[in-house]
Amino acid sequence: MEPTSQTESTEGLSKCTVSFGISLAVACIFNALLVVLKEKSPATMAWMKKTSGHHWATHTLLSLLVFIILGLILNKTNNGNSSKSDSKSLPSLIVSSVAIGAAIILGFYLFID
Amino acid sequence: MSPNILLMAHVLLGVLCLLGAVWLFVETLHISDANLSRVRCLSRVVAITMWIGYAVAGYFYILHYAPDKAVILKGPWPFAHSVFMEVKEHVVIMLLLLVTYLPIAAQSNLAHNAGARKLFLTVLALIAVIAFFADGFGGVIGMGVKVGLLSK
Repeated sequence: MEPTSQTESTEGLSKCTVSFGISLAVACIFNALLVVLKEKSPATMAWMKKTSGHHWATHTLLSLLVFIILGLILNKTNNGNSSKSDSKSLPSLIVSSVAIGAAIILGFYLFID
Repeated sequence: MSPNILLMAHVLLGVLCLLGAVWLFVETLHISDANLSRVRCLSRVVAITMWIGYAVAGYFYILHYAPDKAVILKGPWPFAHSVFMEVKEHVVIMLLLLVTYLPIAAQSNLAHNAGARKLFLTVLALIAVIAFFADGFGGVIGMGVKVGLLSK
C-alpha cells in the first residue's frame, strides 16, 4: 500500500471514529448473543415478535440502537484525544468482534439449534 | 410490487454494495488529496445502497418468505433455511452496522493518516467478505426452494 501523499501523520484516530468503532465491536457481539438468547428463550422471542411484529425487525433495531447509543455515549465521555495505539488496536478489535459474532451465529445454527 | 422483483432487487443492491466496497478498497490503496472527497462520497453511496437493499430484503423476508420457507423445510434441502437462511439473516445485521460505520471512518484524513487508512481498509474488507458470503448463501437458499419444488 503506497499512498501518493508525501507526509504521513502519526496522530491517532478521531474521537468519533474511535467511539463508534468500539460501539460497532460491541454491537456485533450483542447481535450474536441476542441470536442465542431469543432462540433459547421463548419469552424473549415472543417479546421481540410483539414489539415490532417480527423478531428479526426487533433484532435489527436493537443492534442498531446499541451501536448508535453506545457510540454517542462513548463520544461524549471520550476526552477527545485518541492515542496512537487506538489506530493499531481498533482494526483488530473490529475484526475480532465480527469473527466471534459470525462464529457464534454459525456455530449455534450448525451445532446447537 | 411483485415479490420476485423485490427478491431480485435485493440481490442487485447487495452485489452493488460488494462492488462498491471493492472499488473503495482499491481507491483507498491509491488514496491522495485528489480522490479523498470521492472516497468519502462513495462510502456514503455504499452505505445508502446497503440500507436500501436491507430494507427491500427485510420487506420481502417479513411479508413474502414464509411460503418459500415451507417449501425448503419440506424439501430435500431443509438446511437451506435452518442453517443458511438463519445464519445469513443474522450475519447481515453486522454488515448493516459495518456500512453504517463506513462514512464515519471515512471522515478521517485517509490520505495522511496511516492508522485511519488501515481501519477504513479493514472495514471495507469485512464488508466485501460478508457481502460475498451473503450472496453465496442466498444462492443456496434459492436452490433450496428449487429442489423443494422439483421434489413435489
